[in-house]
Amino acid sequence: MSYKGDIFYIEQVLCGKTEAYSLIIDRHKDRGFNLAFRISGNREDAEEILQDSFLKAFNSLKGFRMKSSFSTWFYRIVYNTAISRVRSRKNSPLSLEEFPADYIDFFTKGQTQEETESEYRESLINFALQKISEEERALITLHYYEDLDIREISDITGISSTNIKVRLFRARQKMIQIIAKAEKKNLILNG
Amino acid sequence: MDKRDTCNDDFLRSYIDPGKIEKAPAEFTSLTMDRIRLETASHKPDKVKAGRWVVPVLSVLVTAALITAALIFIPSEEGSNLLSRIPGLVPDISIVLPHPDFGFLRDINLPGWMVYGTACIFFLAFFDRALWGLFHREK
Repeated sequence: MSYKGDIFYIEQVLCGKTEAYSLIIDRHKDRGFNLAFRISGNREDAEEILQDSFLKAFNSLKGFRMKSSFSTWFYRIVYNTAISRVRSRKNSPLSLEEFPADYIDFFTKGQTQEETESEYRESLINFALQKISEEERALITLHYYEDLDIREISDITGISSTNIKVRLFRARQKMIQIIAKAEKKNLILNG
Repeated sequence: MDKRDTCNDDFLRSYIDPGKIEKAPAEFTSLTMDRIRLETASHKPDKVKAGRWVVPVLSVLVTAALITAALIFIPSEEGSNLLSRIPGLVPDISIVLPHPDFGFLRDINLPGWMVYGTACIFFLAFFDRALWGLFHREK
């Protein structure tokens, strides 16, 4: 069955057909989960954040303006829920020593060179993301994973476009420094 | 974006694979829908709450039935039942309704500013309500 668009299913839900909401969840769960995961840093929290966000969205559907984009509106809910959850958790940031830097460890699973490198880079990125602030994590995710432009990111986060550019610039610099340090450490460890 | 920032951007893009997103667990939709159904159901008035009027209504009906039965079936001293004696207990009441004279309303002479003042108060009250509705809208 082809997806008939968010508005169609929202109207169905508002007419009392609650089950139509499952199609909206199916449509947006992966992107929402990715954002929640990148901000929170673990799957359990991401699952809770996303479930809370879908529930909040469901309860506020009456207030949703049909002319605007559901995904932007929903991302805003996920972003706000994730940021407040992470701030209330207040975990200490990871130290560089906590990074599973041993590149050789990634070879033990019988994968190809390409898969291994991809996995290594992914863990390096996740590590670097955990070293920057939750807001910067969100900006990096929305910009690089979701491929959203500055205006869309501004709509979701409520931060001005100019501010987003500045914060993205800083976040990029921080990430590169962290990655460079981790790579250097890895190089020393593995000759 | 300056040249250095463009380099940083390229460097980061070489590490990030946009196609590699973390996906939600397979059973996520059903679990979320279960939670939504549960929370929606808890907001609906349940049968116990809906039927909270049943007991007092039944009580009133039973009391009324008992009183009626007593009036009909308990015999009075004169051989008839209590019900037939009720009209005799009620005295004749002749009520004369007063005829109010509202003519004085026509004689009231309000100053002109009062009319404008009242209209102004109504307008301000309406405006205030509109502003309240605007700024206290549920998000």
